[in-house]
Amino acid sequence: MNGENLLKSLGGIDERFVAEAMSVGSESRRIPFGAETERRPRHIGVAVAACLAAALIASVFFASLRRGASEGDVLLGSGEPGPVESPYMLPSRAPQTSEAPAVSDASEPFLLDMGAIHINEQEGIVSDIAPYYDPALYRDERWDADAVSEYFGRSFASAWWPGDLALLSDGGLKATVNRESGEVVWDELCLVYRDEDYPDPIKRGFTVAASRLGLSRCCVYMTDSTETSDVFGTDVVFGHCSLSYGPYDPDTHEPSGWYDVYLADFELGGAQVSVTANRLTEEEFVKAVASIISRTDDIELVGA
Amino acid sequence: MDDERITGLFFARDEAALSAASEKYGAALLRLARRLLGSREDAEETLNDTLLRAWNAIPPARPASLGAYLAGICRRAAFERIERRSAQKRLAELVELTAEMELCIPDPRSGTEADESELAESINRFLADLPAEQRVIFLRRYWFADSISEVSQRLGIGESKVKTTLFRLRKRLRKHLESEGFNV
Repeated sequence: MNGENLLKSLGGIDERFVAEAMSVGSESRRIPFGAETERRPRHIGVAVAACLAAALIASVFFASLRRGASEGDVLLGSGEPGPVESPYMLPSRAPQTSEAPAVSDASEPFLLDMGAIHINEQEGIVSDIAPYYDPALYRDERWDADAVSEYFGRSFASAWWPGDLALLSDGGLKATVNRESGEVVWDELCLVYRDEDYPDPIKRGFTVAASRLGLSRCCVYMTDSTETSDVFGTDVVFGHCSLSYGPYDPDTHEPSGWYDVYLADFELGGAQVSVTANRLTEEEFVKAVASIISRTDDIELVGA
Repeated sequence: MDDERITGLFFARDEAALSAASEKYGAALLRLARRLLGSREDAEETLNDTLLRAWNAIPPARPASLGAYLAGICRRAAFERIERRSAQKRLAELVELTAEMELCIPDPRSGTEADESELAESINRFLADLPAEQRVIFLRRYWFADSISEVSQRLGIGESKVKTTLFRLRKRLRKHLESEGFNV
């Protein structure tokens, strides 16, 4: 049997299925599915989605414990299911609410279509300088991972990263607080995943930065227009540029080579998040970003 | 004109049945044939074949859904025409569909032929267990040979969702065929 035999065999299927497929939508009109052929009331679909959401909460929780990585970083939400697109089908994307964990068919990975990911090509990276706070007026506080989780209301830890990298941060952050009012003026979380053994000063790895007050060192995209990509319901601006590394030829000033830098900026749970990677492949980077958003490591890239 | 009246004309051996069927379903059948065959000329001949075969089959056949019945005849007629062509003349789109279907076959190298009606029955069981939306996506792509973009527009969902759904369905069909002993 070959593909054509199978394609041809489909001709013998039940005519009811063919009639059903003929009755949905038309070439010229966009008709939401289910309008004509709905057989089950919508609330049943929502209830099923809610049950599966609850099941996934448990699976994500136990998976995180099993991995043993930064347990304090894993914060689970209220368990409310995300929006359901159709009463018949579980959403293929995670819900847009930052509080709820990803909803998926528990037996199958999240699928992310690489064809729908747009990488904006950049000329380079511009970074702001971190602001200076007068120690007479402001004090630094060290927040541990639990305090950070409570403050942000969710984790920004990557649920997946390439095997040669390791998480170097403890999940805590140094916050700057106004001595008089107690107002937090600086709250940047920084999680570093790096291959410390990489044989070059510019190590392979990525950094996740998050802030509720706004990142002061966020990357500036240098193209006139940028396209966003939908990653499980979150709008993400992806960027890429190639940067040179030395030593540089003393006569021609030619670099020894070039390495890839990938960037991703998005908002999640009321925080600004920026992910920057050195020497990762595009697929590795997109998968890591998707795992931060969905909080699952079970992601399969298609169309890569 | 509704299907029952058109079928009634077939039963009365009234040639108006042909023009009524053509008026109601001709465009969709022509589009289906053209999707599989590429050329408008071949598609028009296939449409004529379809109507002639329907004329010969009704009665005694009394289809529950005239549109689906005619589409089934049209699809078979188009595949017969494809078989008469040389492999080089196969449409790129058909080649693409064939390649996608290949991914559903547990062991495509075995070369053993599966019984077509048994295979269709097995696919019926697979389709019956699917949620309606997934079933429609599968049929629009592999039965009607719609492009990803056409399926997306017809159902009012994103192309990305169509692609990921089809990816999952191919994997699921492969498992299903394996479980039913189609290790062909």
